[in-house]
Amino acid sequence: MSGKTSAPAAARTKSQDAISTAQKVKNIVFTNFPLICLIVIIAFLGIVTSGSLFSSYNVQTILNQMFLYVLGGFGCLFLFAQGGIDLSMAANIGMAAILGARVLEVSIPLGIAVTILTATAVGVIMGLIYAYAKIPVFIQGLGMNFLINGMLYPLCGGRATIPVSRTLTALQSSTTEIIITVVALAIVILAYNYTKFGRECRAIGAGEVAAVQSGINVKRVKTMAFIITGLTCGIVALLTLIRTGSASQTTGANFNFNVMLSMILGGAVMTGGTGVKVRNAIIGAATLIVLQTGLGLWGMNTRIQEIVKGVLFILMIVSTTKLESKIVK
Amino acid sequence: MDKDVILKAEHMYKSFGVTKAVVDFSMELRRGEIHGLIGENGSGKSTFSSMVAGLYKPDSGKMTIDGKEYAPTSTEDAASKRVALVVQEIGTIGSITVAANIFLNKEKQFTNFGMINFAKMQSEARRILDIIGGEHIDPNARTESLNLEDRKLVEIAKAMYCEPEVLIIDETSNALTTRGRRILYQNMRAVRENGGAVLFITHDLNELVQMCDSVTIMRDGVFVTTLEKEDMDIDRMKELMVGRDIADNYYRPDFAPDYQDEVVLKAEDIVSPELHGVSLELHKGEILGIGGLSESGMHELGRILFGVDKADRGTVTVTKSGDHITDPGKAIKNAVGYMSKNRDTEALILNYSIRNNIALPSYDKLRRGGLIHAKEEKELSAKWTEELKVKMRSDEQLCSQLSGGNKQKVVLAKWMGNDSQILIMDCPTRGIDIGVKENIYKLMMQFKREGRSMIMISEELPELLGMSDRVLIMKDGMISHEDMRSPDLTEQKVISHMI
Repeated sequence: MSGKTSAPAAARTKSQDAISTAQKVKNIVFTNFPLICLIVIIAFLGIVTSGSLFSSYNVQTILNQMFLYVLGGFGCLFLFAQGGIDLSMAANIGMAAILGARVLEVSIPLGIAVTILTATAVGVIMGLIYAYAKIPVFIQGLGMNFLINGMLYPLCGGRATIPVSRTLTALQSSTTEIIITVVALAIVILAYNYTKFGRECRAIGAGEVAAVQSGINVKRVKTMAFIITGLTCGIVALLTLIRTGSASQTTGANFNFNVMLSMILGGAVMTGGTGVKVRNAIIGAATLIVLQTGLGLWGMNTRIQEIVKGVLFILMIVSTTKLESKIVK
Repeated sequence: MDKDVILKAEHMYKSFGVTKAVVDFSMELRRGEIHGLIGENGSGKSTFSSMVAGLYKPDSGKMTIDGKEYAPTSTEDAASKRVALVVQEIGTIGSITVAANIFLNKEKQFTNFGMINFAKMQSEARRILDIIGGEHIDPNARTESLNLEDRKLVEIAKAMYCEPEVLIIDETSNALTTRGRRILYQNMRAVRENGGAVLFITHDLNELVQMCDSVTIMRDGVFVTTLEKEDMDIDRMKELMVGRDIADNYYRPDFAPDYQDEVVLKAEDIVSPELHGVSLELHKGEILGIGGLSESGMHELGRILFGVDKADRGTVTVTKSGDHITDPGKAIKNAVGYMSKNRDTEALILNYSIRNNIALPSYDKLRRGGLIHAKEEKELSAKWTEELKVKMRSDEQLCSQLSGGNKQKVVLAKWMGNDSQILIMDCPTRGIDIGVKENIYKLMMQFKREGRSMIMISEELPELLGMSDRVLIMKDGMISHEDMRSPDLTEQKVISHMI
């Protein structure tokens, strides 16, 4: 790839020329393309559902459903920035929730600790494999997902669902969730944009060899990113337990794909680097859930909804890659 | 119309985004000539030759071959009209065999009922390699197992296979040793003798005068002039390229070594697959030149000194702290910087802004209570881009948009921003035009006066002898010779220790 990007080897003497106004407008459009798409989708679905999309009940449902995907997206950001992805998240959440729920039956503080720590431990293992074994990150994630999935049934101990105590489910409230989201957003903005670690994640995605030669400890940064996704899985597992009141083999199912989907719909670039931004997680989760809810309200068949999602997904990948290169700074 | 003219390009234009690469450029190539094309980095040479070879489509303009309209849609299309290009970068695929590279996209001729006859392909590759002078290359070898020079020869074989009437060589010779160059020249002459034409792009003006029958000069994408053999004067060409007078001698003016006794960096008995016991000492304020053939081990030595690669045995020590350099992070903590010869992949992140690249090794210094201070980051970048006069619109511009010389200035800015006291420079002026080269030499002298120390690994003897306080010559993974700066240190004298 790099050979091709260096192609216009000539020409750069004019690199100081001022940017035209037309180009400036293009820059704004191209940088905010996912947001523009979201607005168009909201407007369209708002019209075809004659405004019922905006009823307070539906808005509440949308925000409610976005919550975990936004958190999941925040947690994946650091790995995404490196051009990595964690496809073991779904199974990891499932295992953490099941083990956590079983310990919660004995002790609540211990159960919470087990939920968080199990998922984080998987993150540590994934991180070490990622940093040292250098195998394709997709395969690694799929492999781990299969491995853990296979263990879920025995871990359930023959029960279909494992309920958790009322003390825990009583904690659920929209206000808490909004507070959690805002706090997480603040932490992620600071950590991603203003810490050495956040910068290093992007540098690895943009050019690993050059990152190494700039003194970045790539193995450490790679492991850390997976530990963060593991920790995120733990938090998501715990919040799912609080929301649903029980754990089962399907807890967390498809979470990995939905987070990936929402990151892409939010405009994140799969190869990592500066193309991955905090706002991708929010815009993407909103796009995904608004689509799901809006198309449902419109009365669209769920199968056709899948097709629409698939088409949009591919369109977004194509456009983010194409548009990114057209931005002139 | 001159009937000798084979390729005629008229009023060619090409832009990349807002950048005008080639502007109203016209030139003619005659049968039986080797025609040089020179200009500073970013003057549009590569863009023009890429249009001729079918890599880029011109925005406007017209090309003809033997009077017939010529508008190639791809390199294959160009090859079918017997126009071939050997690119500046690596143009072969590493993971397939030499033969597969030579016949890439031309496999059809070897197929029977849809199956490729590999034996036939190999023997054909053998034949063409023998013709071009690559007898030592195995057509069955995986291309990535070859050294850079042999990979270039494979590209030459690929180009020569279509029996080109127009052969374009884009800055290929600086990747080649004396032997490789001889093979390249021999093929260029063969094209000329067969009545074809060669368009030869090079930064080496001596080579140009020696090889070319005429030369065209470009500046800022525009045609400057064409000189015939008898008018090819090096100083005049330099002036025409840069558009102003260039000092005759841009190396340092003094002729005596001048550095302090204090040793700042020490390598002891370094052993690796390429190195067999190398020891050296670098002094404060010294420019230590390391020269040799490209396979002498000097580039590997540079990587080990910075900790990019690990030595099997031996240590690299920063005297001040007593630290051993084991990885780049450790080196950077000890104020050591490294400029890789592979600027685009190792020294810079091309898809990153100038500012981000400059700040990369300095995050520890830019942190205030765990968070990076954005304003200080901006100031750091502003200070050094100004100091080094990086030509840019803003420091948020991507490095991929800069010319080679400007990229190298960003690499320097990156290490100066981190206040490096020891700089290991591997081919610091490779592929850089004269104007910026002069600039870099001046900066080296400034750093020297500031008490910084430099190791300059270079394949160019004039700059090695012109800039170094002390010169080490390497051969077969060992230091074969050491010389102090003096007026009677000549290229002939050191070359004998290289080969």
